[in-house]
Amino acid sequence: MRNLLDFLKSIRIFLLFLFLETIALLFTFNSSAFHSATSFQFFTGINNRIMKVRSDVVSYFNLREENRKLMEENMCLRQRQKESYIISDQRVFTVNDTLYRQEFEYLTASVINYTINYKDNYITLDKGSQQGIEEGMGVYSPLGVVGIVDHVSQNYCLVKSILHSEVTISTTVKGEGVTGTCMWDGINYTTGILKDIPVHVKIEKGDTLLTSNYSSIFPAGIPVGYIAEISTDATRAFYNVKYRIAADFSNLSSVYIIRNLIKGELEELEKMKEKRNEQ
Amino acid sequence: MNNKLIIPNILRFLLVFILQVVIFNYTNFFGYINPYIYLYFILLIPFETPAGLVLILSFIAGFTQDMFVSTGGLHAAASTAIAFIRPLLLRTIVSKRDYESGLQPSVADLGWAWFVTYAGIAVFIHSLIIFYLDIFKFSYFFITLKRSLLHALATFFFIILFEFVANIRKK
Repeated sequence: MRNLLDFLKSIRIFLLFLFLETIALLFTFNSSAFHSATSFQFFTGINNRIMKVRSDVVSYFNLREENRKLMEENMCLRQRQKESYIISDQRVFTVNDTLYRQEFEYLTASVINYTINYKDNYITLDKGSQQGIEEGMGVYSPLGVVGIVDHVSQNYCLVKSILHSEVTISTTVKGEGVTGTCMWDGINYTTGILKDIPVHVKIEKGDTLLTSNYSSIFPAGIPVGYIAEISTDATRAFYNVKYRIAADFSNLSSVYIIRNLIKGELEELEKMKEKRNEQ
Repeated sequence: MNNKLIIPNILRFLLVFILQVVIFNYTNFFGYINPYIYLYFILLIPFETPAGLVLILSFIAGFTQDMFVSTGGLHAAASTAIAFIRPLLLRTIVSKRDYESGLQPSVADLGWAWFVTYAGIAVFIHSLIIFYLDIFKFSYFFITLKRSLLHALATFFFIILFEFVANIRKK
């Protein structure tokens, strides 16, 4: 017994090392345990406050670039407005539209913290549950899709960026009817991989990838990226496409969060289905 | 440990993390390189600190960084590993002066050649652990190697710069 105690004492540093490594690895490979840790809330609270001040300062230096992006976006929006179209047919009726209703609502948010050099990257935004943000909402910048809301605190939210191993975006190639899946290649913050596009579809370098209308997170037609390299995969049935990510992750400052107004209703309905199945 | 060493080390911890959190987590050299200068604190923990305490301090330092960049326990794991092999490094790298109490593993106490070797090896191992643990796929072997090398270089550069500034002040 004494020998055993002596032995344990002699390797106590090693045991402490093992203990600490175990905790660290547990947090590394079980990210949900990490995010639910109470200390995480505490630290993000501090971090967010620091970051808020920091981003307030830094955003001044980016004002010129931001203005340019906003102007470009304004231009796009103005082009879509009714006033910018000439009515060519005078027999157009105005109909009280009961067919269309608003499905997506947009909120603006500022980026206060983000990473791009890990396998799983996250973005912190300055809007939270008090501003009506919920888990699973889509996030995009004026240039393209950025991520999906993952965790929400009172005034902040944590977004899984598209530079994350678990994030996939349903995408269509502009002009073609096919839908593929976009994911990150895990290496470079400017390139991603598009899968599931069958080889009979004609795609070209430079084609635009847009969000598809199968997603309840993003409205259709937000840019995801631009095709950069095309090859076929081992089965020769599908393309292996590399694309340039549309959003500029080297300079991310203000983004839009998308709320799907119908999603709640849809989920409720789907739940009914599950209940029926249980009975 | 005497008080003369505790306070500078606490101050160093705070300073290093303020710089890390406010500046270095956002400096993306060449797109994605940001130096992990909090390692400077771990490197300079005085010799006479009990090994257990070094482990715990390094774990705390790594975990603090993890909390700020939300990476789980990646930095904590790498930092604890560095703290564990630190005694080995200190013993193997030969210095001209004997280790006495009150000494720190710094340039002022042990000279440039010693510190550059010590910091270089520690920083490189630290980067390797972080990036291989993060990717965890051997198909990305060389890209990960390149990435950890670049990060190690950036971190090394800033740690040497800090030591340089610290020494100017003393003279």
